[in-house]
Formats: sequence, structure tokens, C-alpha cells
Amino acid sequence: MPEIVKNEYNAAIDSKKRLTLRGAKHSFYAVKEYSTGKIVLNPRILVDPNEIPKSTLKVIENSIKNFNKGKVSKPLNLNNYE
Amino acid sequence: MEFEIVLGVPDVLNYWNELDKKFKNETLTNKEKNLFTKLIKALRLLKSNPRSNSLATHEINALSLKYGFKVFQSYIENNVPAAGRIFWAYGPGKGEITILAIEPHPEMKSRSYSRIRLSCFPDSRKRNKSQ
Repeated sequence: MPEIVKNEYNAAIDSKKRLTLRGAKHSFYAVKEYSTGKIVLNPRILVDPNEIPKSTLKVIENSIKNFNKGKVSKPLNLNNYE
Repeated sequence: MEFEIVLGVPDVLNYWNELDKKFKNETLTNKEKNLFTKLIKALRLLKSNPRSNSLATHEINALSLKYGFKVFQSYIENNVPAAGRIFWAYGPGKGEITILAIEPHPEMKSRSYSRIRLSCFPDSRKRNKSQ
């Protein structure tokens, strides 16, 4: 997908050496500073903390494969762990 | 009504056997001991009342739709930001609950900031080449 310039403006650094992004659509950016002075910002998003990790999904997948065949362990006796 | 708790094979059963072996040999580390105690407590609750408030049980719709039966998630701990989770389903036999996965400590909650990833923007390497 080609990148299209949607907005172009000059920004001035304030007394605390900060730049203001006008109408920023993201909360987090990866900042890359080059020796030439060029700075590139890449928007970033946080990983959903409730997302199920791939490793857990794989365990669920394996368990369900056997579950559908009726293959499960023997019932646990939780009284053994007092 | 009390349910029978059975474990999914092979991963959950292997994980349980490993913990059980260490428990019997008294070689559990403090972390493992803590987890095992909480896990036993959660499984006891699940056995007696899967809808107990302490478990905060809720259905995972995405998984239920994918597998064609209800898949639930319950928490091992309470009031902890990175609480461990149990994924389970009713069956395969009547009055049985199968533990499909045990996630002791979801790593994403504690390290979510370090695992931030790029949103859908073109690959930066391709962009650099074209510049």
C-alpha cells in the first residue's frame, strides 16, 4: 500500500524541547532518530492483556482434539492434596 | 451437584503430573508451591460450583464459536493484575469438567508495555529501501 501524505506542517520545539503532533491518532510511537537529524515516528499499539497467548491456544487445541475423541485423564482426586 | 475434574491430554496432564511429582517429592519451589495451592483451591471450587464468584468464570465466545461447544475461563487468583487462568469445558462425560489449559501467569499483563508492536503500517525495511 503506497504511503500518502495526509498532513504537512512545520512544528517548533517548545521551551522543554517537546514537539506537538497535531491531531495524533495514536497514543504510542516508536521513535527513530538518524544521524542526519531526521526523526521517524512509527505508531504502536499495546498488546491486549486479555489476549490468549499462542502457546496456550496450542495447548487448548491439543486438548480439544483429544477431548472430541473422548480422550481425557482419569478424574482427579483432590483429597490427596490436603 | 459435584463435578468430576478431568484433565486434557497430553499437555495439561503432563503439566499436572510434573507438579504432582514435585509436590510428592517436596521439591516444589516457593513459586510453584504457591501456584499449586491456588490451583487446587480453584479446582475444588470448580468441582463444587463452577459459577462461583471467586472464579469469575466467563465464556470465551471466540473459542466457543471455533470449537462448537462452550469454552470457559476461570481465574486461579483474585484481585491480582496478572492472575493465572484455567480454560475448561463441560464433558466429555456427564457431570465431568475437562481442564483444557492452565495458564499460570499470563506474561502479557506484566510485560504488555515491552511487547508493544507496530500497528498495520508498511514494513519499515521496505520503506527505507524505497527512500
